[in-house]
Amino acid sequence: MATKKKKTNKFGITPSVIFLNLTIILLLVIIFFFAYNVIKGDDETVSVSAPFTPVTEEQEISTPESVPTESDNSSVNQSKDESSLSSETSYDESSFDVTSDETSSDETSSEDTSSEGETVDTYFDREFFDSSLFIGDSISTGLSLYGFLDAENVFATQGLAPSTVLSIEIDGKTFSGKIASFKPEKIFIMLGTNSVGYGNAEDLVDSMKTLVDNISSTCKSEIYVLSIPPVTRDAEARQDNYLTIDAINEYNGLLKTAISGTKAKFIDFNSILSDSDGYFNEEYAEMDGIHFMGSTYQVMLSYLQKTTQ
Amino acid sequence: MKKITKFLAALLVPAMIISLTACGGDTSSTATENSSAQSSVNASAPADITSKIMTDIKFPSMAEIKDDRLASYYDIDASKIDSFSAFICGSGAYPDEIAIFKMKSSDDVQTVKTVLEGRVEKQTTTFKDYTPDEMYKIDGKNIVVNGNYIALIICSDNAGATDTFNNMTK
Repeated sequence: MATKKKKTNKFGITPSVIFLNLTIILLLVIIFFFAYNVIKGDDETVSVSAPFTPVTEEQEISTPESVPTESDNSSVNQSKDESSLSSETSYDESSFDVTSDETSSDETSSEDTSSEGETVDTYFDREFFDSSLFIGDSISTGLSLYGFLDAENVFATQGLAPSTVLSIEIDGKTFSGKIASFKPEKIFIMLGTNSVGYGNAEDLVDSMKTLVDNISSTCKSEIYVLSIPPVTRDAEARQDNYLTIDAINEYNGLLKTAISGTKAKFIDFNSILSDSDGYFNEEYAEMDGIHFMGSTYQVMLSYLQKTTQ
Repeated sequence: MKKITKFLAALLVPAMIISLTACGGDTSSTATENSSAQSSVNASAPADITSKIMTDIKFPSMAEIKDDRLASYYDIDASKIDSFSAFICGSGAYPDEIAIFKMKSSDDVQTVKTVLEGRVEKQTTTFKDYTPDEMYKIDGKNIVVNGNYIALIICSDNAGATDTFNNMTK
């Protein structure tokens, strides 16, 4: 009886051994790459979450031409997340290229949702404000510091009050000189934050009324007076500038009444920035609880455009 | 005996292949790490330096000054700038500012220094009465020069920012 000879190659290895080898190799390779990817994935998570996570809390706002970026890193240090506010803005048909988490957002979105769940529009047309002049204190300086408007559209400086507008010089220009050279079609005034905590609200409103009357007697600009913004609970507790919600609301209420007797129009901007208790919505507030985040100006300009067009 | 040899061969061949694969992986990883280390040593572009500083130190909300607004804040001949990175406090609440210029020639640094001194003076005028508590940030050590780099640093930790600037411009 002839013995059945197993098939072998010239090295004497049977096909079954070769198959076994290949199977083992395949399995080990799969296991190796699986383990490698798991380890690599863990490493990446650690490296991202440690130094860079805060950066994502703020967004970079970069614009092709005249609009600056709001530093990612600045927001690194913000205790709040304003991502919902700054997720998008667009104006002049060329929106900001707002990036968050290193990704560009789509400019078609022009609405954000505040913490209260309300929809907030952030779209504005920069050209709409070309012939507008904003008069204000440090809060209004942000309109140009962030680059949302040109510096020529803003007559503002730190500490400005209604009673000092007519006498102060900003960048070498008096207010009357500015009006004469710029000839604004619209004037927006938001003043009182620096004074409302210290003085009598009625006196402050009188100063505003005097200012409005003076402007309306010297130029034909449309004049809009904005209520001053709220402060956060923390800012009130710290007694920064002795600003309290009660004092702010009292001033705004008196201001609304006083302005109704002038050629100016009153715009309630305060309520746009307030939470359900009347305090400054944390998402809109700079870390001092008084000033604005970059995205807050977008909300402001969007609201003003909608209100005055 | 032959069967045992074949069996061992069957085990050893995949083991050797896997060992080689693993070595390859390590090599790749090491190369990546070396590359990272190398880049951090040479990361001296102004944008990298401001990024590092603003990551390490607490800043308020900052707005970037790009080419189109450079002249509004720093009267510097742009043709003499190799690269720069600048941020100012956007809300107007704080004097914080950081601007780093890499000049094409160290000969131009002195001119830039004069410009930045003017900027410090302006910020001092603006904030000395408005927020006296913040004036510690303007401490007379706000301008730092290293070779053809020059920095304006106004923040809550000027010394720390200066160290970073010096380390990254070596």
